[in-house]
Amino acid sequence: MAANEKFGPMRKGLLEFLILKVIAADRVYVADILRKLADTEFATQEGTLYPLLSRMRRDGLVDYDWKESDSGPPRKYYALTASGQAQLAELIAYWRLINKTIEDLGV
Amino acid sequence: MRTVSSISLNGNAWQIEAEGCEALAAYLKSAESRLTADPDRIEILADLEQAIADKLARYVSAHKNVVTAEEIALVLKEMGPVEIGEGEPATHAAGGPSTADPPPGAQAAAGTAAPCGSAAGGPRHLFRIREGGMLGGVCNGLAAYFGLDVTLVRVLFVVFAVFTGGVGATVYFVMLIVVPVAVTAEQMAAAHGKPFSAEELIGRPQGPQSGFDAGQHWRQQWRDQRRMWRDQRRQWRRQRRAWSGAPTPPPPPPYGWHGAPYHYGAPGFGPVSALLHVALLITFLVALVGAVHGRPLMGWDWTAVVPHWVGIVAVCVIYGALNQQLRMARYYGHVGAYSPAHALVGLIGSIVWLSLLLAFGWYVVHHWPEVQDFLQHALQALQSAFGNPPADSGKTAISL
Repeated sequence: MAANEKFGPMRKGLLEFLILKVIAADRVYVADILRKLADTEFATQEGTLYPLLSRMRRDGLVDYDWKESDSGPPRKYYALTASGQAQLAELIAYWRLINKTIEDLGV
Repeated sequence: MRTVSSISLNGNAWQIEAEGCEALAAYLKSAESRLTADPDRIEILADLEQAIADKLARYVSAHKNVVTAEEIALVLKEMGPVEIGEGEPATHAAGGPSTADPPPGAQAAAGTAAPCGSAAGGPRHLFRIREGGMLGGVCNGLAAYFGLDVTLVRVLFVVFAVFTGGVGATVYFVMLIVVPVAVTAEQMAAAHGKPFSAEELIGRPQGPQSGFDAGQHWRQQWRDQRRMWRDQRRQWRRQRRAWSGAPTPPPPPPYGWHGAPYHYGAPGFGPVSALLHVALLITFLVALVGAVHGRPLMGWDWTAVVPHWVGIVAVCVIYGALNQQLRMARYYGHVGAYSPAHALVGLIGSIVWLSLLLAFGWYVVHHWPEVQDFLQHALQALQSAFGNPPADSGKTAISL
């Protein structure tokens, strides 16, 4: 298995983490999230994002409220819930730990 | 003129070319079927419809109120296949019943509407892949094509080359000439059998899913292929048995007949072939010992150019090839005493073999710069892999 074949599952596993981070930074709607991720390795499409956001809302990590937009129908703006914020903090701490482990081990 | 259909997206009507409308309906239907287990199905579908509608709005204006099939294809590509957000990639790899199913609607939707639909299916082509290849990238390409580990393919190739007496090496060289090098990203994707589209390149979060499907599809094909090969081999074995059974010993000579009792071949052929065999074997042993000790060959100090094991393998392969020819000649000479038809088959086989060899030689002579380029590339690869660090020589991998 070439290394780049291993990137896919890694990105997949990290996608939720990144979405939490994006939502934590700002109140966003789906197109904002897609735009923020578009230039990164985590570029995502609606087909993936909507089901994922829906599950994250069911898990109580995010919530949305409707907001009128200047153009077109009202949009769902997402924000982190308290448990979403707690989980994000946990994930960030764990990510730092992993990073440190990787840096410390080997060369 | 194209017919136009209407479709309602989240409560708004859109006019779309019939073909595009079908593709869109197929996409939404597949999304619905994939989301059946999701409690928020209806909400997600509404979101998706709204997202599609937002994108479609880009394509209509006061002077153009119909969305074309091509535009639908673009939008659907942008949306990407609908996946249930399991989050855990492990569940995808395990292939639960719902995730292992390919999204047929989504594929079909993109396929029928998009002019680039054929690329989305990810056809697999055999290419040589120079990046990470040892010599010409043949094994690398084969490994990508069959989805195997490249080291395994290399080892198998070397074993194949040694045991088939040079045929494997010939196959390698023929492939080197015939199989094109994957240069563009699209060819590279085709070499791995991965779909090539912008969506696949950037949307790798969905990537493993389609890769998994392709792998499964391929495994089925491989199984069929193997079954075919096995049947073929069985047939060959049966044929060979029938052949070797053919030259039954001649009827006992009439009493008082004076002839060589074990004379099955052409007159004098037996002893000559035996002599040739012995001479070849002795030459082989001498050459092998020389190769093992790294002695110069006819004044050429080959150890300065290639590592030991290459010389040893080369000697074995050459011996195998010559020995095979000799055995074939003897066998058909032997058979020929009883059945001219079999001898003819043998003769044709030998002629084909020799003409292939000659064709190869002709190619080498007439395409010398290309061959030279390849040899240089090969030597550099060998030297960089085996030449300099003597400490590592203990764990060098056999590779082509």
